[in-house]
Formats: sequence, C-alpha cells, structure tokens
Amino acid sequence: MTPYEIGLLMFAGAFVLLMLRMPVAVAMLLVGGLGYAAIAGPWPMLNTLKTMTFSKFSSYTLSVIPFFLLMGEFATKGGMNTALFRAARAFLGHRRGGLALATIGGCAAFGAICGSSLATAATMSQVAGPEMRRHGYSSALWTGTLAAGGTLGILIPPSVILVIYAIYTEQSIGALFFAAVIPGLIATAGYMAVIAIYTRLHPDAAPRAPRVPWSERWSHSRDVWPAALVFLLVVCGINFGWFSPTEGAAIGAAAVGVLAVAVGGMRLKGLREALLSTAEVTGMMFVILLGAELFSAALALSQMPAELSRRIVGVDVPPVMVVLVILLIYLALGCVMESLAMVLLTLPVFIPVILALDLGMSQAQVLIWFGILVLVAVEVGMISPPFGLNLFVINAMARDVPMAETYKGVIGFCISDVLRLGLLVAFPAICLWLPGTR
Amino acid sequence: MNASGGAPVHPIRPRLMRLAEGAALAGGLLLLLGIAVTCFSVIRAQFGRPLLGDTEIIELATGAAIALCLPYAQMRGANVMVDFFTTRLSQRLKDRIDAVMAAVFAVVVVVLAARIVQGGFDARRRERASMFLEIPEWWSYAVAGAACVLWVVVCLFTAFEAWRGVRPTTDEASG
Repeated sequence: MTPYEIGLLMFAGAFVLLMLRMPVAVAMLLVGGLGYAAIAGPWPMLNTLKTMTFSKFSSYTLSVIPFFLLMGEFATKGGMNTALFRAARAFLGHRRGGLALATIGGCAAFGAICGSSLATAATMSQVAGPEMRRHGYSSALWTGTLAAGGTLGILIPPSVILVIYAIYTEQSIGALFFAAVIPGLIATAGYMAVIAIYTRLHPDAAPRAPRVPWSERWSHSRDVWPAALVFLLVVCGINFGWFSPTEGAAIGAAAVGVLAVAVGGMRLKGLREALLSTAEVTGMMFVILLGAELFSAALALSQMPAELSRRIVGVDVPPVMVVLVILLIYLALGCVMESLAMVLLTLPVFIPVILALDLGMSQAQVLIWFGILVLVAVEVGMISPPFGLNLFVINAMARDVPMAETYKGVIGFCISDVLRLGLLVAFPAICLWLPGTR
Repeated sequence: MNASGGAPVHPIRPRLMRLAEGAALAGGLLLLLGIAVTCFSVIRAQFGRPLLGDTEIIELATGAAIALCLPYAQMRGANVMVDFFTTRLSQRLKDRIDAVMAAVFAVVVVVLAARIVQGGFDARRRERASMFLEIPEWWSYAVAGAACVLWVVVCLFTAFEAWRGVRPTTDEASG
C-alpha cells in the first residue's frame, strides 16, 4: 500500500470509527497512531508520542486556551452575564421582541470576554431564559434565540476555535481576532433582524415590555464598562503586539477574576466551580488536540493532503467552487459533529488544498479569510438541527420545551448564518479590512 | 446522584470523583499560578525589567495542570462523540458499543501514560532543565505522570462502568 493510500484509508477509517460512537479524541489517536506506525514503523511512532504528548500539554502558545476558558468562567461567576443582559434589556426591552433582542445583545457582549459557544449559550440562558419565559415569550423564540446567541461566543473574539486555527496555520492570533470583529457584528445585526422579522410574523410570540427611562439606562450601562475595557485591552493588545496572546489571555483572566471577586461577589465556592468547569473543558479539548496532532502528523507523513491538493488543482473548476464545496462539507459535518473536532480533523487536508488555489490574494490573506469562513461554517453546525450542540444545551435547561419547538425557533437564525457565509465568501474584504493584512 | 438509567452507581465512583476533583483543582491552581506569573512579568516589562524565562514557568505549570485536568474530564464523561448514526440502535446495543469504545479508550490512555512516564524518566536521567531559569523538567513530568496514572485508573473504571451499562452523564452533581 502506498503512503497516499494509507492516508486516504486513515481518513475513511477515522470517519467510520466516529460513526460507531468512538470518542473523537480516541479515534484520532488510534487511527493516527496506526497510520504513523504503518508508514514509519511502530518505534518511531512510540518515540514521537513520548515527547509529543507532554510538549502539547506544556506548549506556551496553547496555554492561551485554558486562560481564555478561565476568563469566561470568571465572567459567569462574577455575574457579568446578568449585568450585560440587564444593560441590553434597558436599551432594547421595550421594542417588539425586546427581551430576545437584549439576549442577542447580551450574548454579543459576553462573547467579547468569552471564547466558547457552549459556555456563552449556557451562561446567558441562566439569566435571559427565565426572563423571556416569565414575559410570555413563545418557547420556540426564546430557546432559538439563546441557542443562536450562544454562537456569538465564538464568532466574536476572543475565540478558542480561532486560536487553534491560528496556531495550526501559523497565522497571527491577533490578526484573526481582528478579522472576526466585523463578521461578528454582522452576525449580531443579522440575528436581531431575524427576531424583528419573526416577531412581526408572530406578534403574540413576544409581548412588549414597558420603556425604561434614560436615567435607569445609564445606570445599567455603567455595568458594561468593565467587560468592554477588558475586551479592548485583550483583543487590541494582542493584535497590536503589546503582549503575546498568552499574556493577553492571562491579563484578561486576571482582570475578570479580580472584577468577579471585587464587584461580582465571587467567593471560594465560585472559584472552585470556575476552576472545575475550566478543568473539564480543558481536559476534553487537550485530548482532542493531542489526537489531532498525531493524526495530522501521520497524514503529513503519508503526503496524502499534498497529493490530494495537486489533484484538485489539476481539475478545471473555478477556485471559488472548491471553497464553496469545502464550506458545504463543513455545514454537513456540522450537523453531526462537534466544532473543535471537526476543524482539527479536516484542516490537515483542507489547508494545503486552499493554499494551492489561486484566489487572487496573498497566502496570509487567504488563510485569515478562510479561517473566518471555517469559523462561521462550524458555528452554523452548533445550531443546525438535528444535532447542533447548542440546541441540546439550551433544551437540557428548558426540559418542558419539546425539541421540535427549539428546532422551529432556530431555523431563521440558521438562514441568516448561511446568508452571512455567502456574503463573506463574496466579499473577503469584510474580514481582511480591519486587520489590514498585506 | 445517579447516572441516567442503566445500572446503579458503583461505590468507587464517588471516591474516584473526589480524587479527580482534587487533581483538577490542583491543576486549576497551577493555571492561576501561570496567570499570576504572566501578569507579574508583563508589569515588570513595563518598567524595562522583563522577567527572563517567565514562559518556562508557564510551560511547566500548564503542562502539569492540563494533565491534572484529564481524569476529571473523563469522570465527567466530557468526551465528545458522534451519536447521529446510531440513534436507531437499541439502547442495549449502544451500551455494548460504548463499553467497547471505553475499553479502547483505556488502552490508548495506558499507552499515552506509559509514554509520558517514560519521557519523565528520560528527563530525570538526562537532567533536562529549562533554558533560563534552569528549572528541572522532571518535576513537571512527575506531576503529569502521576495525573496520567490516575487518568488510567479513571479510564479503566469508566470502561468497567460502561460494561455494566452505566451511561456517562454530565449533569450529575459533583462533589
């Protein structure tokens, strides 16, 4: 068997094992290990494992991930979710579907200090869920809004997926964060538009709330400043090179932690919970990262991705078609797979393909643009029925709401996602303008 | 606290859970240490006196910290898998498949843990140390190695649980 065939077989094997309920991390470790051993021999594989495992855990660049996770946890335990939602409600609550609009606003703001979609969905639903329910919002609307709002956690930087993409493609984390800002704002606007249209079509789904006087609005908006300052410091600081991404994440986590203790009333119990949930997600992510490392090392050995990209470039189709096909694959995978695993499984193959295409941009520009496209595409997977993870997180918290209601509520948001993805494909400048990539 | 359906919880679970929680909390404290060192170093750099080798402390601390998180994530059943294609199978068959997969997981983890421990012995024998601060690497390996041993135990236990038909659940009360 040629290495190329082994590479193809690995890919197929990994997918078969995944379909058979094998945990993603193990599938990648197992297939990667077997593939590596088949190409290079078992001892080189075991030797690689000896150093690779610990160096993956003790990587300075990757330490940014637990730091950002901790920052999000501190923000929740410090009650920033409540503060941000209340402020958004004070400004938007009296409009049609106002609480839903405020939920999206609050999610966007929380997304600016949290890098995970699930965490944002979970934490905002604690605050906004009961409020919308109490005001008689239809269950389709409020669960759909929360699931979609959660994705703003990864769409708006900082974003764990972007960090991993940046490290994998050796692009600047700061540039990718900056590139995600405008698409993130468009996403927020798009979701709000969906709510406006939905509540116009179903006026009884969202009763209006009374208008809040300006004095009260200002007092609520004061609570937003800490989060806004932390976001500006971290994202600008990383992009302008004031400090490294790890330093930025550490400063952000420390700042939010101090705020949580001083203002948000986080005590030992809260700290303990924050550390434990960070540990859970960190542990889960790093096993997958480890599996992905071995998997992509074996794929690289097989030269399958390079060979495949040569063949694809040889086929006479417009480069944009290839990009669209890749995005369609992500949308399809997203319906059944978790986003981080999906990205790590596919990047070793897709990145060489993307770089081999002539898209009329510099290599760095292509990688940044493609990174945002991947981010948006996998994020659609988080909320697309039937298996979007956010839908389950929200539905688990609202046990009396049938899943079908949540599906119904989220469709509009999915449509807005796909439209936005098309917009970003058509106009790469939306991503590339802010980071000013050459 | 009871797993969702299936066999009742084995008495070992709460004990292992306490150990895993302890490890995770220790890992969390190491992360906090890493954060504190980083902030300290950034502040010092503002006054033109950067802390040489701060990245080494962070690397060794997070290396141990992340290993310490693994048993807890496993105990909580946080591993991501795809259940789209098997939704129509009977629960009994799914339980059996999961038990096999958990066993494979345990085997893979045994190999990984053995490699980490071996790497630690190598680091000790060759007296590998970090570049600036000359912190010996082996202590971080030692913590990670110990965490991995706990991880192996936890994986074997969860495989055993899966075999008995206990389904992992993330909404059980912790502690």
